[in-house]
Amino acid sequence: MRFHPGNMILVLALAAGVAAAQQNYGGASAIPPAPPIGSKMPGLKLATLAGDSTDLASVAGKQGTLVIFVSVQCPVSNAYNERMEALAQEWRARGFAVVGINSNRTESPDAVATHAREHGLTFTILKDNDNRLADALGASFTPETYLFDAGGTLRYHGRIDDSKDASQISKRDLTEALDALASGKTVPVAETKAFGCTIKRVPRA
Amino acid sequence: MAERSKNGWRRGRLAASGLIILCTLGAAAAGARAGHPARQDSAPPKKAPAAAPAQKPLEVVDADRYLALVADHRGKPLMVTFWATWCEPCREEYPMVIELARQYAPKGLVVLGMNLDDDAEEPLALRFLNKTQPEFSNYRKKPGKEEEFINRVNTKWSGALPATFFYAPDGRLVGQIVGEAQRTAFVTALDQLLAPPNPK
Repeated sequence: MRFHPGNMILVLALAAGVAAAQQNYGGASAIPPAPPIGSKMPGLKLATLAGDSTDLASVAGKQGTLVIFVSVQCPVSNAYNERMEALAQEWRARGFAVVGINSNRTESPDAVATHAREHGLTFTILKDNDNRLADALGASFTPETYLFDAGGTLRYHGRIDDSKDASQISKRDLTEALDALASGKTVPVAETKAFGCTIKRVPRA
Repeated sequence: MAERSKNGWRRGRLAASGLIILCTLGAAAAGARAGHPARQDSAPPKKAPAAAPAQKPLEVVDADRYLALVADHRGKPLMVTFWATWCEPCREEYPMVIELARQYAPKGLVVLGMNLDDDAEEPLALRFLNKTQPEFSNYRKKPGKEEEFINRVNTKWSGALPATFFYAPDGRLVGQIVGEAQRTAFVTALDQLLAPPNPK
């Protein structure tokens, strides 16, 4: 999806058929819309924490690729550290690559690496400089997930589960999506939402 | 006097402000919710009293109640700011929101704060409000059913915070600011919200 400048008017047609103009006053940090389910995995350049150039295709898994936008500082992202690591370990063994993406301009590769080490995160984490991948995927908060199948098609986008508090989970949407992909079934709920910290984007002119 | 660390200063001031303004905030919030104008003459910070009275919890609202609140304010332009104590940019922008509320009140703007902290975090939210002293009402979202709530507020919203929504006097959602934004973005939004409607 193309990046939309901060003050572009978004014209929306509401479900009821009433046309409404909803202005996005997002200023320097406007968030582009997310691509629909069925879109292809972007081929944008990313950086390893060591500073080398890479992209999602290079780290993709044979059965699929789970992309998770993560943060060093966000308490919501951090509330999911154990869950993300557990997902990475379980699904890595089943042929899925789990890739963390840090798009926050305020969080350096060193900070990301230190945080991962301190919290026992063993999955690959890449830096998304100038939040280009976040823009291409319309990622707006952390943690936010995008699950691509073996062919690089987007099959699930949204939350990991329905509760920041791990003791209150009632719906594990991401796990259900992974299970569906692994058994060749349709993903039951392909798009979900959750509260999270916005990604710290670079200001745009 | 020994130089205090930034955190020490903040904590000390938090404790002092937290204890003094409780009753004032409670009264102001109750008054504001009842539709009375907010108090302009809050007492200057004093030394903390020995015993702290219980903090008054925020009214908890579900999606139905939130939409009813928005509908209740028809006839006036409305700005609703969503925040949580775990959202650092929300905490950073909140004093600016308070200042904008004060600045645009004479032009008829109504402001509401919607807190998204869980039950366990509510004391932090109340402490934050005691420290920042908004002159507008704040409510807290009922925990659970997040996705339904997000979609019923705005289907175009992902749930990312900070988020501020602008409602025209006829009740329509006409604009939003999601993510960190400069004051100029808010001013642009408010000036447009409060401008007389263009003839079609």
